[in-house]
Amino acid sequence: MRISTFQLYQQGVNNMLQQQVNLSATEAQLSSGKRLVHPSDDPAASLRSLQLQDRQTLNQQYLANLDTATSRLQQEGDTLSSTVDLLQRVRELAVSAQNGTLTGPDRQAIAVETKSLLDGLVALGNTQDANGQYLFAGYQSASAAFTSDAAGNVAYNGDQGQSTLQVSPTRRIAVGDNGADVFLGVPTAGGAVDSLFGIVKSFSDALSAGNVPSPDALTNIDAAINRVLTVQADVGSRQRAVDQQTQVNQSFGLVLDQEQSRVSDLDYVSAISRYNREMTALQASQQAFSKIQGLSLFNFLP
Amino acid sequence: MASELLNIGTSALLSYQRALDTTGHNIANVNTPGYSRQQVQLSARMPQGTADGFLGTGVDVSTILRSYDQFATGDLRTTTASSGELDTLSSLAGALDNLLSDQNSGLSPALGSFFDAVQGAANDPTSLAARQVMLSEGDSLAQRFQVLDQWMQDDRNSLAAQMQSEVQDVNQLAGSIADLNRQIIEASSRSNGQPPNDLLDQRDQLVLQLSGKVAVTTVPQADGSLNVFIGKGQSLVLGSAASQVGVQPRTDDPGQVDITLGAAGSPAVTITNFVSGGTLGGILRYRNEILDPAINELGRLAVEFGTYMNDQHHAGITLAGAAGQDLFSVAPPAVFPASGNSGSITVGFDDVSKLTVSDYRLQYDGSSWNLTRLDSGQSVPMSGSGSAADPFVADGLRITVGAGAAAGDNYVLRPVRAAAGSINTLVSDARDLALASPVRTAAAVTNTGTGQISAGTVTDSNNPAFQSVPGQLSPPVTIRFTSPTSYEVVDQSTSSVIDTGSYDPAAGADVFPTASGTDYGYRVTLSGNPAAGDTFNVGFNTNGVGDNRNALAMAGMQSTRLVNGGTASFNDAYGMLVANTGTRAHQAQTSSQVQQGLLQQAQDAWSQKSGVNLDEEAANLLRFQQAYQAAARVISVSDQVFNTLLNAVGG
Repeated sequence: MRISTFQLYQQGVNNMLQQQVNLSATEAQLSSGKRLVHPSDDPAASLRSLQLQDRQTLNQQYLANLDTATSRLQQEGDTLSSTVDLLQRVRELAVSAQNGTLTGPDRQAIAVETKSLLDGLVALGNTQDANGQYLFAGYQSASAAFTSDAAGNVAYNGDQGQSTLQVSPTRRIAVGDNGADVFLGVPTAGGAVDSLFGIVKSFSDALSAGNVPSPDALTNIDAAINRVLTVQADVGSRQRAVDQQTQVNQSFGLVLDQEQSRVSDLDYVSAISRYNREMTALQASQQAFSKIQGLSLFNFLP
Repeated sequence: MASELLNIGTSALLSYQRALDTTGHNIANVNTPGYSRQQVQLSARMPQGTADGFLGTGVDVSTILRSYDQFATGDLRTTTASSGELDTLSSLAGALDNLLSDQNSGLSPALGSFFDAVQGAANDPTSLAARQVMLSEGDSLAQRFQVLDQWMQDDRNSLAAQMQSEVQDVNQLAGSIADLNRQIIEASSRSNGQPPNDLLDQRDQLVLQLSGKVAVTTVPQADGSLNVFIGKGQSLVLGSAASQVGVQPRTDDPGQVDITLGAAGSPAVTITNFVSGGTLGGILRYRNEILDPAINELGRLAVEFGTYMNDQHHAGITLAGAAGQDLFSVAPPAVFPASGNSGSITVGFDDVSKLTVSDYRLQYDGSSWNLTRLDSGQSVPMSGSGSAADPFVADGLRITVGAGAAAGDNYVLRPVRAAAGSINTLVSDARDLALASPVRTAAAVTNTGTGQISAGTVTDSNNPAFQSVPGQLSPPVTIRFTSPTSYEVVDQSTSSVIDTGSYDPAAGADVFPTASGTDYGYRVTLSGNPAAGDTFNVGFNTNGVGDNRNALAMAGMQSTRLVNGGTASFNDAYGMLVANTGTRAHQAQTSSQVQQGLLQQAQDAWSQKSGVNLDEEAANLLRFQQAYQAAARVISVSDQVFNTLLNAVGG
């Protein structure tokens, strides 16, 4: 077999070029820290990496939604406790108003406080969130949930809508309660239902007239307190659910991170040793090339 | 006698002069591409018959031959063509691969941001800022679709330009080969059939360069010329005449060109489908196997994304309570009628989840219409009769055939080709985003049972219940329980009973469609234990600005498997586009590397036969120099012999 001078030269050059390609690919991996520099390096793993990234983004969004849910529920819970506090004060006044030694003017004096308590309750029913939206108006959050007329009758202007937030691919959590669920539909001693405001107002009206309030007033106020407490307990359990879901999402995020790292990150130890190996190979090729190119019969011709 | 020796010496002197010249020529051309080393063929001269026997008369150069192996040369051409094709394919596919997967330029991040913004708007449906973010992200996503599409369309256009320049190279090479054919024929006849080695080398080198552009086959002729064919036997060079290769824009595929071939003065024929090998073959393969499917895949995703988003957006109401309009523009399927058609067709989308990435041809044979996929050549069965009332439906397309169709009418359909490039957001005012649902339900406060009614979901926004009077349900209804296990559905506007239903507290009940089939395009579900006399109202969601139900439904589409026949989410579909392109690029790289190895082998085989080895030439130089010196010595000896004789006679 014979070999041409150009072939000998070309082989040496090709070898060096190939070594340099390998070296540059490893260098790209080392500098980016990624095993997958191009999808064609490993199409299946690239697809997986893309999907993991998508799920991570979504998971981050669910965590952000949970943050929103936490603050909404926090505000609702605070409002509900204030409502219970006011109702408790109404109840104390109701207990003392039953006292037979009180005169009509005494009761009228109490009525001054109950009226202001009623105003306070309506104000709580019209609590607004950071965006100026009414918390208890259902879907119609842009307008006040409750309005009172000149006589002090309170009307509900909202609806029974309840807003929910997506907190996992399969779970939505209600982040509010409408005014109907919190303030309306309180069962009264007579068997009918009345609004929380109606109960306080009729008690207050009786006092203003100087009358001894009906014994049912206390029962009705208790029913109203229970109503709010029930919703408050529900809000509390939703807050716990939000906390749990936050933990679940956080650990899922961690799993996604680990999986992403496993799929696309570089194993530095093996990459560095490969880098050294490739460098040695390139140096060897270069030395061999310069030695072989130095050999020529012409060097020995006279 | 002395003159014989002089002649012999002279013949040797001249022959070795030639041999030394040839060695020098070899050394001079050690780096000339395509140069085959040449060897002087020496042969003894005709002997002279004498009484003493045949007397040698010296040496002659019979010919100068190039070291040439027909098979090694043929193999080198074939592998050069394949290697050129795969090299081109691999580098073009690699660039597309990088573009689609780049975290900054790919679709994935834009898709993620858009849905994040939808969630943001769902969290705060009354916030104009959150709505504006959703609009802007929708805009960015549409832009990203367009940019990716534009990049691929630009790629297509630059391929057309590249084909144009490759074709010019091919023409130039073909012209030079034809010219060399002429020179070789002339040179051979001038030199009594001695081979014009350097011209032959030059021609082989040109054919090799041509093979780098496009695969060719060659047939040597008796007069020394070489005929060159491309494609399936279309002649490019015949003797000293070359045909012209050209490119011609396609009428049924904007931005695309066909390759044509025609001898001077005769009409050009399209040979695109027969061309393979070389950079031209690589460009065509990239275009047909990778780029066009990728454009279509992105287009299909745009159609599916736009259509699903629009459908859901229609099912909602805006801040002002108006029905949601189209959120994204979706380009209709592109139809390219053949020039001689007599009829017409209209093509629209049917169920977009059934769309494929293929283009189609629709043909009429005089009695029936046939739909064929262009990528696989398979026939696609169509349901329906093609009339406006009962259109043909196949692969997510709805085709209506107009009057006047004649046998031979045919159309090329490119249903999703233009979609990604033309998707746009159509809503410009953030208040016009339909994030709320038009349906609102309520249990009467006076209800004594524990029955509940679901919030209501829209199933068909085109239902007259929503369409008759904007901002209103037609009619609003009340569901009144006549007993704990039966209810009636009452039209609130007329107080007439529309239908009745029975109720099982354990199972609950879906009110619509009712027993007699009344369907208002939405669904509500009853549950719990209602008491007789309890009522539930269903009405329009007037002023329901805090409602985020439709936004949640839109956000939910991010992880729902809607596309590719319900097997993939939007992001999955994009992931598959990336993975498909990555796999193709990977395959092309691997094949290209294998082919590179084969090319190397073919080059080695050629080189082993034809390449110049300087050591060998140095040895030859020494050998021929010594022989030349010896021949000179022979001449000087013959001179001495002659002188000896002269001295003897004259002495």
